[in-house]
Amino acid sequence: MKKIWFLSASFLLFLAAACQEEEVPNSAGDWLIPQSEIRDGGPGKDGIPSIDRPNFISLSEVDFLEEEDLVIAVKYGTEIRAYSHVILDWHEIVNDQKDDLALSINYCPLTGTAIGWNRMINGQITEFGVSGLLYNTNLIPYDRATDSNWSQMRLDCVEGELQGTKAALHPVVETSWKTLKALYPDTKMLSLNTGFNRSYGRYPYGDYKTSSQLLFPVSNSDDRIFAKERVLGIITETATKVYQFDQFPAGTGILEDQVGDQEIVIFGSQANNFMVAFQRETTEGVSIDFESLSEDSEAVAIDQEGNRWNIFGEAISGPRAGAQLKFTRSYIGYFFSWAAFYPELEIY
Amino acid sequence: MQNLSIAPLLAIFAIFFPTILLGQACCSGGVPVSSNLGLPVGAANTVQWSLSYDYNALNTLKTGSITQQSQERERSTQSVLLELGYSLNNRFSIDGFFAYLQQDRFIRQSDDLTRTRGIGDAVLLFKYNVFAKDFSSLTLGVGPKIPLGATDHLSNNSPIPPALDLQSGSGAWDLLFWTQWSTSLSFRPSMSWISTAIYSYRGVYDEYQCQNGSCQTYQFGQDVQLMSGLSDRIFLNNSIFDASLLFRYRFVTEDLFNDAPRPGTGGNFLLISTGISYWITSDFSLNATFELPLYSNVKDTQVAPTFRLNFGVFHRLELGKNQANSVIKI
Repeated sequence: MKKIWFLSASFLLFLAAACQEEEVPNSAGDWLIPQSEIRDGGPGKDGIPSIDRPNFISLSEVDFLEEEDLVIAVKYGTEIRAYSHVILDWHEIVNDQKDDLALSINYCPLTGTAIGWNRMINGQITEFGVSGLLYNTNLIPYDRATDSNWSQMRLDCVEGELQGTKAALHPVVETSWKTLKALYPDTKMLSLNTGFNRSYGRYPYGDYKTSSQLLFPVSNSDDRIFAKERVLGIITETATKVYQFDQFPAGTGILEDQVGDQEIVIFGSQANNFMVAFQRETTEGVSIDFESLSEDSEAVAIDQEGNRWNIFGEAISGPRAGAQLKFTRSYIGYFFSWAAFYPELEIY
Repeated sequence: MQNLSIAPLLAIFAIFFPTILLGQACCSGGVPVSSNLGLPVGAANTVQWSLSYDYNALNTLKTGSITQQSQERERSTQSVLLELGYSLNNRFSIDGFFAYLQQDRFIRQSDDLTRTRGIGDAVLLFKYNVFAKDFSSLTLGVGPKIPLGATDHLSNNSPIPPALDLQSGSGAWDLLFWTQWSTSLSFRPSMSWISTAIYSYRGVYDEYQCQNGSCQTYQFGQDVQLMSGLSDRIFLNNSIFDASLLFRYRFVTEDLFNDAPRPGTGGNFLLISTGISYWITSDFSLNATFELPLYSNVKDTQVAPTFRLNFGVFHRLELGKNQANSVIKI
């Protein structure tokens, strides 16, 4: 009997030792967003691994995309690189660089938002990773140089050393694989050779894209538009406005509008699945009036001077060839997420 | 005499089933509790307890039935499990099940460890022995899982509470239905065929992720587990060992968030468990169990069981009996 109690006592002591609490201080900081509304998404910090050494292939080598699959096209100087949702669904962030331009292509599958951020911050190139946290069910990237947390859709740093810093945006174009290869056959496509083993092509979130359900609560709901409809939102200092695909024709359409104090132009096409927004003036301050253009080239608009413009806001021919339209702070995302982040949202 | 013959069989249940049925831990700390039920219905006025340490590794990233060769993430649940049982008579008994859990999530790239610890949900199981004769036995049980575990533990590394699957509690009352059938084999009476079924009706946690005065609801997936296998008594150098080999099939429906299926939850799992017990006396044993998955087919992409290890002690105390005389009779 003594033996039994000795063994039991020993085992209890072992278990008690195993249950000792470790005193580790929290790394709690002040957040620019309500801390009580930040959620742990589940996989943990870097549990969704960013791609930090991307490999690219030519479009002729791409065999993993369907015609309507969405891709994110980004221009690095004269080279266009594309990142497919098929891969971004599993990694959310690609840290890429060509020459001096270092970008983070960050994508949140839960809000459908893909945005390009310049990785040069305070003179230092950083990498972004997936923090595993969400605010308004939207990605919170963190930068690996300072471990600061950023809000993707707010476009700023919300916690840490860089708190308050605005993200420097680099324009991206979200469109279909079919459109991209028709417009830019020389594009370099992010390869499946990511360094990770994932079921690319298999959407990891069930029927999330088509269901009205969300996976995490949001701070504001708006039922004026179906929650998961992809809309283009434009943010200015004083206003935020969203635009729907059905406001554009099957071919390319031009929509000129004012958002806050900004005169903007949107090139859009339902059939070709793109909407991109720019200010209606060039970086040199020249105001432009556009008309749509449907021809067998990358040009989607023409102006009063005969300049032809592409979806990156560049004049590709005409007297102002090489001119660049001023960028807007804009990107495509599910309507519910725009309503959650920008409650005073206007709908065009 | 028949009762005496059944006694070793019941003892075998006591050894193996408390430790062999641990479920996948990715659905909160409530799962280990619901999966480890089943002290035997002993003689009247018998107290039984088992205490075990359980390590459940969930490092296998799956998409459907495809294993992703992912080494980036480690996930584990360590549990201290205490089960107390009291037999009112030869038919009725009541078990109480308590757990203390530590859940870890470690990401290699960022060297990031998320760890929570705390008391888990508890279970009360009321059992009725329908029959126990001719070397066979059938026992039915039902009882609630009581949400004693917290759902708002903070980790050591963040002021943001980890996800619900890393919390020690589920926040919901569940109802468990449990049944166990066993029979000893005619060609080898020391060998028994044991089958157990557990259905866990998962309740709704209705205070999930509250913000701005409104809360979400979360309901873990309905859970069915079927276990079946053999156990046998082995005599070595005047010592008694019990060995077992069991298969466990587990089917879990998708979790519901605000009544809508949650991606990345639910699936089918087939596991194999081996166990060994060493009887120090006829009433006290040391036990160890090792479990490996044979097949997993998860919904969407999830971490799935990699292996599980459990070891512990079991003790039976017949109140009023002189325990000093309790020795194994071979």
